[in-house]
Amino acid sequence: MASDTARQFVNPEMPGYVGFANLPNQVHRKSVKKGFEFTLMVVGESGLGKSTMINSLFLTDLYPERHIPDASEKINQNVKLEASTVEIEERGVKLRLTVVDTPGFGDAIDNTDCFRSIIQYIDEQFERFLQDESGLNRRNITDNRIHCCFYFISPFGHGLKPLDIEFMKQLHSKVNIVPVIAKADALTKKEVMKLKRRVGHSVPADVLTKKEVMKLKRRVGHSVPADVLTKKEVMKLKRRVGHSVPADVLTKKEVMKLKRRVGHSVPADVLTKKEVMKLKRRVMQEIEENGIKIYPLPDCDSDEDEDYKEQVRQLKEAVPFAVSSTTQTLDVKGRKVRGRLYPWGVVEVENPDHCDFIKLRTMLITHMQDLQEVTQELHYENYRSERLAGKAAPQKNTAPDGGISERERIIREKEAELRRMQEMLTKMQEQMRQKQSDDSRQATPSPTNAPLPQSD
Amino acid sequence: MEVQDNNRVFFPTHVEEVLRESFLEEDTQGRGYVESKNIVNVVRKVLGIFLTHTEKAKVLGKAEYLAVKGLLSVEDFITIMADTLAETTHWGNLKTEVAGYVGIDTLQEQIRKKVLKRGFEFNIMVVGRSGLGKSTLINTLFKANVSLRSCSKSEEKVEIPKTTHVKSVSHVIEEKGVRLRLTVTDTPGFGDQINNDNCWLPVLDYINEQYENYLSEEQSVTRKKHIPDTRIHCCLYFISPTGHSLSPLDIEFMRRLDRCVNIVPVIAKADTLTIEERVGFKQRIKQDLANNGIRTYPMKELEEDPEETVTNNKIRELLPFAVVGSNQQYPNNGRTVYGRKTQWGLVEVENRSHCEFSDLRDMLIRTHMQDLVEVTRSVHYENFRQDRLASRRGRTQFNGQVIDMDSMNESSL
Repeated sequence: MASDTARQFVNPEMPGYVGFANLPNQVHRKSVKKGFEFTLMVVGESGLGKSTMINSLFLTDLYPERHIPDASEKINQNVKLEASTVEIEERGVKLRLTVVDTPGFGDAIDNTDCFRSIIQYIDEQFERFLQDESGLNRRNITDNRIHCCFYFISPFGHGLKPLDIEFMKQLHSKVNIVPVIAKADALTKKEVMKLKRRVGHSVPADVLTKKEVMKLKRRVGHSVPADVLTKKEVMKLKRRVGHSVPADVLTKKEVMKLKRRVGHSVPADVLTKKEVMKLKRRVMQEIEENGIKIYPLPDCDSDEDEDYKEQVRQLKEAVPFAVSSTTQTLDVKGRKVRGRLYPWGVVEVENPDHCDFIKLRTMLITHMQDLQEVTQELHYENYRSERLAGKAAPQKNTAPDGGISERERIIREKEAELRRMQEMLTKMQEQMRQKQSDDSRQATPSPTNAPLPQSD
Repeated sequence: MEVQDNNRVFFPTHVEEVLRESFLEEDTQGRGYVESKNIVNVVRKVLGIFLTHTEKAKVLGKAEYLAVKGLLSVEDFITIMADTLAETTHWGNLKTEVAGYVGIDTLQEQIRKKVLKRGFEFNIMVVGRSGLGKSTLINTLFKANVSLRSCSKSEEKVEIPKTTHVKSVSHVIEEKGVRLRLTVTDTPGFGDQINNDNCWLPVLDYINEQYENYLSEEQSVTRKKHIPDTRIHCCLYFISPTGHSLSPLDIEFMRRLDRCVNIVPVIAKADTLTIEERVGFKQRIKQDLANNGIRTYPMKELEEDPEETVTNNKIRELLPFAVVGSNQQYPNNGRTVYGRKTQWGLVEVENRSHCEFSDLRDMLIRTHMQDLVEVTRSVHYENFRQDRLASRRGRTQFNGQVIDMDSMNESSL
């Protein structure tokens, strides 16, 4: 018998190898078959390029015919939420992407109500998921909860507007907020940095990775074990002491920095990176000051490879992302690029030097799973515990997709009836118990207590 | 010389002769009467020049007033001509000939010297949400740090005020002996709150306050020789470059203020838009302005001659100006230009193919500055004055009742 089975089930050569290291592959295969779902919400004033960015992010046209309302239509507009779903496939992996747009946000003269409908929508999605989870048939639950919210910040202000701050304060505990600086090609790099700084201040030390702590320490002049540094940083250190360095290791900016130290004149386009940095820093500062918790990119474990760690570090530094997007392709010096054509030059959208579009896309793709997890474990759990503790359910107004609610309503009605019947049953049992105890008391008028009937 | 008596007007004899002659020419049937609608032709023949449509309208109006059954007699004609000729110096063929050089042309020089001594005044107001580059644009326009932000004590952090404030700062700038007292009024806090209802009220109140001050100074018993003019001559309204259309706040503001001040809309930070986006945006803005009946400067109904109409039409074509402001200079092809240096090129502020700053500057400073002052004085201030004086008279009539005429006027704006 053993030999027969041995022919069918080949024992791997390695001793002590059971084989459950194969589990991730099984999960992978199953999830690829099932496909992934992701819901993204974009919020921001009109005209900041939200729809263009969505179209160019996933390289599909989610808004084929857009009707741009003129000012008189805008006066009477309330915030409506529009969800559009698209199924895209890449190398056999299917992604069901839902984008929720919020036209009319921040457009009216009096905007105190505009985030109410958004909060209501998010709560409704949580409620629906909660009901589905507690329902009888849990096989096909569609997850329509918002996994990520891109909040578009206008590059024209000096940082966050009161509306931005208010919105983020009200929503940071319900959804993962990723702040995005829109239309970044309106700014020089220095302005972007200033804005970023205002939106999110420096990060408390326990959140820093080991490498970042090292970087800070280095700035103060501590010696650093060389294995922590990348080649570039070794060069940087050497440079500080004055060694000559092969120029290909340095970026253009560092060459300029060096030159400046020796007093050469510097072309101004390198300085402008500072302006973008200033804006970014300003935005981060204001976020920090107001206690807003934006979605933190998770640190990577120390056993990940260097490139990935470097990538994540760069992504973290670039928050909030300053993006500029377009769906047009231009011909620049023989190659085709997606870009915006101005009389004074071309802004290449997919060039990481010009804007953070690629970084944003990378972040979204590499952290899609994490965003879903945080939504499930943090925001949804918060909602659920509040709800079960007795908070009222959100009032249902006309939901954007009315088709599904019909079936769900029937299911919910049936469940409600079941619950009612169960209550009636328990009540009847109680009554019967009462009657039995009364009868037994009448039959045997002894002071001793009659034995309590067994509960069934 | 003409002397206006009660009903009799005197013209120099040659003028009266010409008038009677042309009347008789027109009166082909010899009835002694001319139809009132043909009067314009007669006037044109007499003067030998074309009338603007405002003048034509006035003549026709008077003709209809005087006409009996649609017909005018010679005397009526002369009365109409008297009025018309009294209001203009374009007498055409009726001018009196002078036999040699008199020296009237030195009037130009005399006025110029007087005005130069006193200097000019110009008050400009900038309105728009924060961060649209208002201060930078004003500094670029006048090539000096004249904006409020540049002059007040430097605050490292720019705080958005909770309501709209209106603040002014005055400078005197000089160029080739011509001095200009420039007052820049800024409106920090406009449109920046969550609830922007009535954020235009402080602006409106400020403008009316300046008119009020001028009026009371004008009417005081001992008034100054030259009343200081703090009235706002031009209001630059900054539109955010969304690329879509005007926002409800823009419409509300402009609707309420186009009757009391000259509004010039500009698209701020126009280097955000590509050329095609800019064209589409402007079209939609013009549509929005037309749909809401907003009259921006230059106003069509105030034009007096065809030359002005042509220039103004060109300006109206370009409205709203898509501008970019910058107070930093960069070298470009050997010259230093104002511009914004970005990674993908240099946006030159004064380059007409990049943005319309030069057109705005030309209109505002080089061609229409005096006209802006003139229109403020003769149209907006006069409207205000009429309303104010009528309401004051109205108030004294209703003795027992306390009727607040002011609020009635404001709501009708």
